[in-house]
Amino acid sequence: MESLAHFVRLSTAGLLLDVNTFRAQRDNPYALREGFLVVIVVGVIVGIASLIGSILSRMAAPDPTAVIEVLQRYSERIPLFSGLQEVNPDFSFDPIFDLLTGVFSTLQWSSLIGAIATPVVYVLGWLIYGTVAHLAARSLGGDGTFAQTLGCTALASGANLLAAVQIIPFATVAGTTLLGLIGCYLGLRAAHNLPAWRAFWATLIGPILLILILLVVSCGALAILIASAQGS
Amino acid sequence: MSVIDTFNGALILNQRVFGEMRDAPDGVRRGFLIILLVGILVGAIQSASALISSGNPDQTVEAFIVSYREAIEQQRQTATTPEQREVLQLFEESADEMAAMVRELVTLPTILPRPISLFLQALGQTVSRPLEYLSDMLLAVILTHIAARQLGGQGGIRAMVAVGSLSVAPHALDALTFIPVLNLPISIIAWGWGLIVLITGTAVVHRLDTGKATLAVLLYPSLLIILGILLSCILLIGLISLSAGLGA
Repeated sequence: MESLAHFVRLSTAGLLLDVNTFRAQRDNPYALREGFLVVIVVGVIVGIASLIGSILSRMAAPDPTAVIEVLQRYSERIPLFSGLQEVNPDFSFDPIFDLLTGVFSTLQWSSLIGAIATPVVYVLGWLIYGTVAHLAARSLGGDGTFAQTLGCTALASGANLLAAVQIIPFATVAGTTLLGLIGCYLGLRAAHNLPAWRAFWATLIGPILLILILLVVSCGALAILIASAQGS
Repeated sequence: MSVIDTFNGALILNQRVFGEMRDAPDGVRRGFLIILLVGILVGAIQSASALISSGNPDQTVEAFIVSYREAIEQQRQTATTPEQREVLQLFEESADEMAAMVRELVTLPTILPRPISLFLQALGQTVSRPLEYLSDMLLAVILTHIAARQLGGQGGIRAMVAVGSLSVAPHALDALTFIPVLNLPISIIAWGWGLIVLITGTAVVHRLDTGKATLAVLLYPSLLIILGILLSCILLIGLISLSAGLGA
């Protein structure tokens, strides 16, 4: 059994787009098992970092219910808002504030749930993306096995190590998706011996399908909204 | 070659530095290190500047009220109907209460002492800056790489990321954007200089001439802007038809 340092090294190689490590992973007989452990290790690191960061940010920021209480108090005193209520006597901010209070009281557990869910979400995302990318790569002439695809694309999850910056409160994460996609491209190229353009399309078919599904759902929702507005 | 030498070489468009970053096995690591250093430098100075102004609640409230009144003045110039002027009057009458609300919000107690809370906020902003630069650089590099390959380029994406990271070096100038008068010119100079570094890097990685490298860098951003304008028009038409439906 490899040490934790080995999996951190593998994920760091994925983060730094080390082509030789991607190639070595293709020939690794334990590619799938090690890939799975890499994704889990990255997920646990990010989950713990985000949990610590959110606890610290909670301690460094005012209580959200106190913020809502101030907003609610001033909404009754500020002429702009009282003017709104004069124009429309039925208008009230209370439902909005009640909703916000409910949301914040639910969100106070979100960091703990998020920390536990991060490794699970990463593994699910890796398995779903890996399956779609494998089918795409095989249909484009790739010769890698399913285990090789998953083993190589697992290294791309090393990009998520950047999200460990959340250990510092109020830090925002950026760049992980794009870096992860580049890692997946290198992984698919290595696993399937694909030429550049075919590896490019195999990498993007999954995200393109996802965007298309979201577009169709959004357009459908917009069409229903317009139809119901015109019908009423 | 040290990171500082690479940084200096990128700024003066030294072809040898670009060539070395393209061929170095640890080019991506060195490139990311440059992004980290520039990001931390810019983030630390900007956060310190913000910390000085937000450390004093009176200054925060004053800054809020100045921008609030400026926004009202801007709206007043475009207000044409009596209803619009009436709403603006309400906004103006609300200024004092708004200021009191902001003062109360910024002085709400926190579990940690206020100086530590402010320091943690500044630290969060500081460490976020390198990731913002990385994200912007990766988007530019991916679009440029696709275009360069279509134009006959032969470079790899790993080399492109390594060399593309050098385009962040001129953004060290962003550290000076806290000076109000110099804000815009410095941002434009840093952006333009970064663009030139990216064009030079693309030419080196893909072994293209400067004309094709420039086209590769500008092709997809231009297309995306045109697409964005078209989509905005479609969205506008959709909203107009929706409002017409609601009005009918």
